[in-house]
Amino acid sequence: MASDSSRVDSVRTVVGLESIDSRLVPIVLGSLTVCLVMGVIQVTFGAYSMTVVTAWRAVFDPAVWGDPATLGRFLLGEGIASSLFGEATELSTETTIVWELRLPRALAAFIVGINLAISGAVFQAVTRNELASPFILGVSSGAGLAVILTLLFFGSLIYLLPIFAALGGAVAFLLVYAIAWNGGTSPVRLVLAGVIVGTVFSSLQTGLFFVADDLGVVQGALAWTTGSLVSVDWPQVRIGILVTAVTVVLTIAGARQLDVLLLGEETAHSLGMPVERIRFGLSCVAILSAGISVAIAGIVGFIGLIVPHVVRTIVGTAHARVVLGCLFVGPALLLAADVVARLAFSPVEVPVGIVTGLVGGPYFLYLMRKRRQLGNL
Amino acid sequence: MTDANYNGRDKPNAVLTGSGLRLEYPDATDPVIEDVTIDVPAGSTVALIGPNGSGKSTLLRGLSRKLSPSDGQVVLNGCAIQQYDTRELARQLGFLAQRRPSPDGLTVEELVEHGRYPHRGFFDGMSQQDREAIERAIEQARLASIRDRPVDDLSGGQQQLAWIGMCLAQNSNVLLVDEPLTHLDLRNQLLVLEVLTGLENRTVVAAMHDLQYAARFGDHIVALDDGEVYDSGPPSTVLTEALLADVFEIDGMVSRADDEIRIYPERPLETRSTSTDGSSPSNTIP
Repeated sequence: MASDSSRVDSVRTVVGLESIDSRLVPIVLGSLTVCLVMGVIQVTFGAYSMTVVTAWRAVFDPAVWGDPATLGRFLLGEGIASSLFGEATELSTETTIVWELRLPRALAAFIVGINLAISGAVFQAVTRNELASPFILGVSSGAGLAVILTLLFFGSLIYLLPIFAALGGAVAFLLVYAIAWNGGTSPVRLVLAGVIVGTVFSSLQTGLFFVADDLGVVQGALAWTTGSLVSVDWPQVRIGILVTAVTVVLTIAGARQLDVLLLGEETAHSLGMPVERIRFGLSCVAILSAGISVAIAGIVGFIGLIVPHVVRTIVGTAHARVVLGCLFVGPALLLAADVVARLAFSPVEVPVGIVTGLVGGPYFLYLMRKRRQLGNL
Repeated sequence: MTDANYNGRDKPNAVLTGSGLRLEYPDATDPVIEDVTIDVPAGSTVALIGPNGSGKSTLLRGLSRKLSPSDGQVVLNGCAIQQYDTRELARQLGFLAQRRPSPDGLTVEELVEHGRYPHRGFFDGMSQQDREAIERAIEQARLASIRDRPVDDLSGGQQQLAWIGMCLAQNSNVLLVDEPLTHLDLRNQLLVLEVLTGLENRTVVAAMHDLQYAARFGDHIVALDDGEVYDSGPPSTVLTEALLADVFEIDGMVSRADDEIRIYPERPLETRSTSTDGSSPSNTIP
């Protein structure tokens, strides 16, 4: 073992600073610019229109920032805030609209964008397949089935829908792992097991559509499985921030493990990695990311597939850089997509999942034209 | 095998020994390796030879704990190999597989850095010691001029050297290499051979196809025939015309001029058994 005194770089590595290089800077700055612009558009425009200046004033309204009770109501929740700071003050209409409706939605897009992107990056490494997505190991179909089951048979528990959806995804993932396990797993076995579980669960889900008498139920389930940020509110944002803090730290910490996994199981094992344990652990972190995204926004496709791909083509394969890039590009893309989903066809809103799908398809067409060889599977 | 005159007495300086090994794959009916005993002396180079399917790779997998023996045991540096935890095992024994994926865009230096994996904790950064080991490995594997190039852009020989560099950074005293020369051109074969034989204080076991290279590489040769040890010892005693006939089923000549063993393969012999056909006994020697 090396002496501890020589580990001067350790802190830098843990937070990924060691890997910041010139390739990462432009995409971070570019993404932040997109986030800023899209954030401004998102809080400014809508059914109740205001000027950019008014919206900006509302975002930085001293009535919110200067009053712990009001700020606390958003960030900590009504209950905690009122017991800590007492009653909140009345807010102006603009501030209410921005803070109650538009800001949480933009923040949710940010959170979901981060989680889908890093989850995709992990799954692409774990399955050694650059066309993997956060939903490749059964999460989307498990969540979809859980949603339709809840809507059909436990209508009274509809407020728990996000949790059931995330749980359904996790159960499907564990089932995939159990099916793939044969004294160990391999990327191909995992992907195939994902296909098996995905196919069966999706069939069950579609079958249940026919059982449902109420078309509203079907439409509700469909909206959920397309992915939408329409109904997000502060509670989801609060939980989302907590979970994201955990998933981001763990994913960055696992970056080097992902790099070594990409060298193949045989090599990873020769280098002293307990391959199955690490692969399962990293998959669980990625499932947590995918699960919180599903709980907030339903199943938003393509972000988790495209973002790691885009980042990798710019910064190379080292995962410390890939994951850091994903933290910025993911939110930028989802925020932009949500602006389009909310405003482009005004007064009709489309689910953001439709927009990401419409962007994702052409991106892969472009890749197919540009590169001859794509993916291993 | 009647000719198997391997003597299994303990060698006190063996770093890696396998005794009475039986290795089999779950789906197969017959074991690939049966009752193999092998001693690898410290600091030596051992060439593992044998025709296709004789069990060279399987034996290497057994010796590196990729495959656990259904019978017999492997001892590394005085300890049964099962007792090592994965990380500790990797600090003492390196293994380079013949086939491995090559991630896009990974540079030679980044690949070599991964050799330090078993020396770094989950959250540890790179220590001075890691840096030195990497530099040493880059020098030993002759990668200095290509250290910043992506591995997947390199020629087969350079890629092989880059992977060897990774194993060298691992700093294990034993290194097992599966077919390091296969698919390389002549120059690169010689280059890889030079790198592998030029390592000080390391024990290297390599599975090899080419007998001429095996003679040059190995202080010690182990010849496998159909999953059993046919013969083992220094090249001058193992590499014989009888070996060519019995193990490789060819007619050939072996000359020993100027301390250099030369092998002249001439023609294939009539097949003594059809190993794919289970009905005929595999030990009928013509």
